[in-house]
Amino acid sequence: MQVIRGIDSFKKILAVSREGILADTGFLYAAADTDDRLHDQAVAIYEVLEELEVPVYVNVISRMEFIDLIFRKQLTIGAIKTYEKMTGDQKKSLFNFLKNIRDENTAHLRAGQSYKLTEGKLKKLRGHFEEMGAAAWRVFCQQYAGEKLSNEWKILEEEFGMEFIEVMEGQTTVVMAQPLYWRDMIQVMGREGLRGPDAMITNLFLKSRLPILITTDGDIVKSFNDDDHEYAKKSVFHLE
Amino acid sequence: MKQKVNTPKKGAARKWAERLKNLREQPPFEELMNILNRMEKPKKVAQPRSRGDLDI
Repeated sequence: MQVIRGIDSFKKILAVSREGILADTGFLYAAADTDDRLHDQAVAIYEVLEELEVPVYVNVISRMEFIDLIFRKQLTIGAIKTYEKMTGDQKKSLFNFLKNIRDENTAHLRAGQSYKLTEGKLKKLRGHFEEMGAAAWRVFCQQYAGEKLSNEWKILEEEFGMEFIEVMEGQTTVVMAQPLYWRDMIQVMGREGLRGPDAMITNLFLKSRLPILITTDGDIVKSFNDDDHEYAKKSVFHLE
Repeated sequence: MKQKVNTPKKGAARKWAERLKNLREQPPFEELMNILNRMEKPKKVAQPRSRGDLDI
């Protein structure tokens, strides 16, 4: 397994093989959000893929994770924009809650991170809006997510040229060299101490014909054993 | 026959980042602010004058 460092080495590998790359959620998200500290790097990589017309393969879990991150970011932006429009005359608990989101966002930006509402905060935000009437939450979501989120889902294939890998237990597809089994994925989880979605990416990459994985996750990179000659032709581009 | 495979369109990544950027420029709908503004501040209710100084 080779670790790719820099765009030039990346281009060299693609010059030999343009079958496609496997992308993880972190890479896709970094390309989509200017707040992400890896944004410029991710866009530069994506532009190489555009230029060389290299297919971007994504598993269904990454697709779901990606759209969930976009959704949480959209509502984070919405919460901040709503706070900015408030005068302080509105309900105090909602005003303070939105202010706290704005403050967390500012602190994350200072640290070079993209802030997104956690699941717990999202539920609280909904609760605060619903206290103002059922329509408040719906109007808020309609503006900041709604159709925009549906479009994000649609354009992943149409504009960003993604190919989604969906494989049934024990089966292969054009991009899969070996069949995929849940038991293999669970073994990766247990052996490497990786969470399910990360272990899925690792297992899928190893069993696929795809020569390159692009990831922002250092733990995934560590899970590839250098001594494993079976995967000597595979490479990982780690954005860090 | 070779299966057609999607590939990224030129300029897609740059356009991608614009989407969240544009959202950051959008103030909330008036409809939402109207709902939030419906919650008025508690009205100041005049307190009865202290009657303690009245002679009984």
